[in-house]
Amino acid sequence: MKALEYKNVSFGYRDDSLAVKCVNLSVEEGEFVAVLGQNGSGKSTLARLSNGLLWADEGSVYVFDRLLTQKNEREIRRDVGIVFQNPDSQAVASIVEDDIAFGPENVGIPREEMRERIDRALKAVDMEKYRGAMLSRLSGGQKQRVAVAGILALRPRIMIFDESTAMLDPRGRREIMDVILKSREEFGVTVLMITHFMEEALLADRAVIMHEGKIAAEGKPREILKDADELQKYRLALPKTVEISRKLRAGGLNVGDAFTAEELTGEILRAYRS
Amino acid sequence: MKDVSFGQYYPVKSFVHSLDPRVKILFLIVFITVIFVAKEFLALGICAAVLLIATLFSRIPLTKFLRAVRGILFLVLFTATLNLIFYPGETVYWSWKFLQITKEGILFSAFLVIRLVLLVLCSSLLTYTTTPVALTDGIESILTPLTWIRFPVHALTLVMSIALRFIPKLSEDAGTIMNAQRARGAKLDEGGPVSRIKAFVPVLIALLISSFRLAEELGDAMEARCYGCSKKRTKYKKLKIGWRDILAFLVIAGLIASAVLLRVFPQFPF
Amino acid sequence: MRIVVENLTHVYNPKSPFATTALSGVSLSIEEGDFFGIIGHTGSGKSTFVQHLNGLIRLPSSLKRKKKKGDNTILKVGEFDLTRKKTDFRALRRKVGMVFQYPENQLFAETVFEDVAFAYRNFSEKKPTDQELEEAVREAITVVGLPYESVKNASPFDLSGGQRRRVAIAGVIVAKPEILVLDEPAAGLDPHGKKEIMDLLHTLHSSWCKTVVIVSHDMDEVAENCTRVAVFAEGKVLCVLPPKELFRRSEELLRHGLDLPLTAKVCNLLKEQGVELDCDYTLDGFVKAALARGKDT
Repeated sequence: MKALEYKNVSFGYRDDSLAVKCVNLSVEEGEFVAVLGQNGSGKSTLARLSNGLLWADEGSVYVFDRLLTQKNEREIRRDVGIVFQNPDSQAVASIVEDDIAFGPENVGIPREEMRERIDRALKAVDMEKYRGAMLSRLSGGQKQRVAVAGILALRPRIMIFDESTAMLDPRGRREIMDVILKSREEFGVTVLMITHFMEEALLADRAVIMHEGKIAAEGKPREILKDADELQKYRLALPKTVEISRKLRAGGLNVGDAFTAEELTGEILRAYRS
Repeated sequence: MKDVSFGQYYPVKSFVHSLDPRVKILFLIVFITVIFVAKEFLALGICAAVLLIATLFSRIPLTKFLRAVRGILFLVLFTATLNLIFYPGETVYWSWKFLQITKEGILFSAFLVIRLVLLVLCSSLLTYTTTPVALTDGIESILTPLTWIRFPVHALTLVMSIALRFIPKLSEDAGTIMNAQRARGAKLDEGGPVSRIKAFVPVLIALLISSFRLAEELGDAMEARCYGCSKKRTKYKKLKIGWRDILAFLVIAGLIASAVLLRVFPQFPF
Repeated sequence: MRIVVENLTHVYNPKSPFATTALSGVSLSIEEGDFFGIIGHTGSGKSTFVQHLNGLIRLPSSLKRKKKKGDNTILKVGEFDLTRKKTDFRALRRKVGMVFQYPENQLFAETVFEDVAFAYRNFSEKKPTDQELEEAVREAITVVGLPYESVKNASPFDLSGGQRRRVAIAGVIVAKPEILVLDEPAAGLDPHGKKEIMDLLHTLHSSWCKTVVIVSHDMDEVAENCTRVAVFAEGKVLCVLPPKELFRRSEELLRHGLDLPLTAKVCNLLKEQGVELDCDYTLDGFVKAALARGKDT
C-alpha cells in the first residue's frame, strides 16, 4: 500500500521562493525515503503539504489512500508526524515527560495508556533517564530526541523528518539517525527524511533529489550519490568518500566508488594488493 | 544562558518544597488577605511567626530573603516616610508648617512597613520553593472550576506554560544578540539613559524578529502534534494531596481563625 | 596581534547553587597568521573562551580597581591587557571581530547597507563621511561575495539563508578587524553553502584579517582548513597541535568522545591492516599519500 502520495502537486509562496512545482512522488508503506536538495529547493514545503500545514494550489495528496481534505486533516494529522529542524522551537512544556504528553493529551488518550505510550517513546529515543528533566538544560541532540518522542507517542504511521539533524552537532546527528532507524524497527513507521547530509541519505531505501521545486532525480542512494555531474547541477556535493575514490582513480590507483570509511579502506587495500 | 538562574526557584529539598503547589498558592492568598485585614500588631505578629517557621522549614538561606526585601526597600521607605509626615493624629510629637509627626502616624507607618515586608517575604517563599511548572499546574488546578462557565482555563495555562518554557530560550537569545551587537560596537553599557535606550533598538528588533520566527515554528510544531484536533482533551498529570499538605492546610486554617478572632474581638484577652 | 592566555578560569553564577565552572586554568596562545581551530563538545567551554577574546566576558580583575593577590591570570591580545580595568575595550572589539553562531539572527536594519554600516559607524572615532562609509560598506559586501549594487538597498530578510549569513559576516569585517573569530560559521548550511563559507574565510584570511579563529564541530572542516587546533574538554585545553599531529592521536580524541575526520578514520583502518600512511589529513594530502604508497608497493 502507498503510505504517502503526491499527485501533480504544485504550491507557490507569494515571492515564488520555496515553491513546489508539479511534484509526483509516492512512498510505500514501511519504506525509508530520503529527500535531498539545497536550501530553498522546496523540500521542506513538501513536508508541510503532507498534513495540511500547507495546502497545495494544485494537485492532491493521499495518505494511506485517503485524499487529504480540510475535513479529514485532523484525522490525517494523527497518521503523519513531523519532526522539524529547530530543537528549540518544538516543545510546549518545560519538563520532558510533560512535553511528550502534549500530543496524546490533544487527541484525548486516557491517562493509563498515555503513561505507557510515554514510557515506550522515551525508551525508543533512549531518554528514560531524563523523564523529569528541564528541557532547557538538555543538549540540542537530546532536545531533538524529546521532539521525536513527542511524535512517537502519537503513534503515527508516517514520520517526516524535516532537516531534523541540520542544527545539531555530529554526536546529536548520529543520535537522531539511530533513533530514526530504531523507530522504524520498533514501530514499523514509514519514514520520509529531508536532509542535506549525503551520508544520512545512504541509509535510506530510496533517495529523491529536489531542485527548484521539482523532483530532479530518484533512485537507489548509491546510484544517485555517485553521479558527480548531476549532483553538481543541483548544487549538491559528492560524499567525501566518493570524492576521494575518484581522486585516487584519477591518480592511477584502481579503486571503485566507496560510500563509507570501511568501504574506502577495503577498496584501497584491494587496489594495493592487485 | 548559563547566567540566568531560572525564575527564582531555589533548588534544595525541604518540607516546604515538597508541598502541593495548590496548598502553597492558597496559603499565599490567605496570608495576604489576613495581613491586609489585620488591624492589630498581634495579628501581624502571628503571621510573622508562622512565616518564620515556614521559612525555617524551607531550608533557604535567610540572606536570600533579605535580598528580596532589599529590592523593595526604597518603595517601603518612601511610603513609610510619606505616611509618617502626613498622617493626621492627636498626639503630636513634632510639627512644621503642614507636616507633623504623630503617635498615630508612627504606628501606622510601622504597620505599613511590616505589611509590605511580610507580603514580599511570603511571595518569595512561594517562588523560591515552587518551580514555575508546578506553579502553573497549581493555578490550572485551582482555576478548573471556571471551566463550568466556559472559561478557557487550559488555553490560559498553556500560554503560561509556553511562556515559561521559552523564558530561558529567549533570555539566551537576548544575551547572544546583545553580545553580537556589542561585538559590532553597540554602546549598550555606556552613556545616559536616552542613548542607552537608542542603543538597544538593534537588539530589540533582532530579538523580535527571531521570536516571531520561533513562534511561527512552534505553531507548526503544535499543529503537527494535533493541537486542537479533538474536542476531548485528557490530562497527563494530576496533582495529589498528601498528609503534609493537609497538615500545612491546618496551619493555615489556624492562622485564619486567630486573625479573624482578633478582627472580630479586637480586645480579645490573649 | 598575538593572543596569549594563561590560567584563565571562568565560573558562571559564582557563589550560587547554579554555579558552573566553564573554564578552569586554560592556557594557550594564538599566533598572528594562524587559521586557528577550536574543537570540543557542547559545554566544553569553547564559546566561553572565545567570548573572552574581545572582552564580551570580562575578567573579574578588569572590573575592580585592584587585582586580587595571587591572581596569576594572563589574557593579552596584542597590546591589550584584558586583566586590567584601564584597557580600552571598545578599541579591542574593533580589532577582534566576532561572528556568532547563526549570525543572521543579529540582523536588524531595513537595508543591507545600513546593517553592514552599523559596526563601521560605531567604531569610527568621528562621524564618517558618506563617501568613507559607502566605500567601506561596498568593500565589505563585495569581499563576502555579494553583488553590492543589487543588494545594498534590499532588506536583509528578503535574502536567502546563505546570503543573510554573508551579510552578517560583512557587518563584522567592515570594521577591518585584525583577528576574526567565528563560532560554527557553516552551521545549518547545505554542502554547497558550507564550502562557499569556508572559501570565503580563506579569502578573508589572505587579504583582510591576519588571524582567523573558528569554533567547529566538523572535523573534516578543521582538518582541511586549520593551521593549528586546540581541543577543549570539560573547561580545560587538552592540547594545541597542527591537524597533522592532532589526528595522529586518534585514540585520545575518541576517548573524549570527539570525532575524527574521514581521512583519519581511513588511515586508522588501514593501519589496522598493516598499511601506514603519512599524511596531513587534508583530502588532497590523503590522496597524495595513498597514491605515493601505491607506487611503492
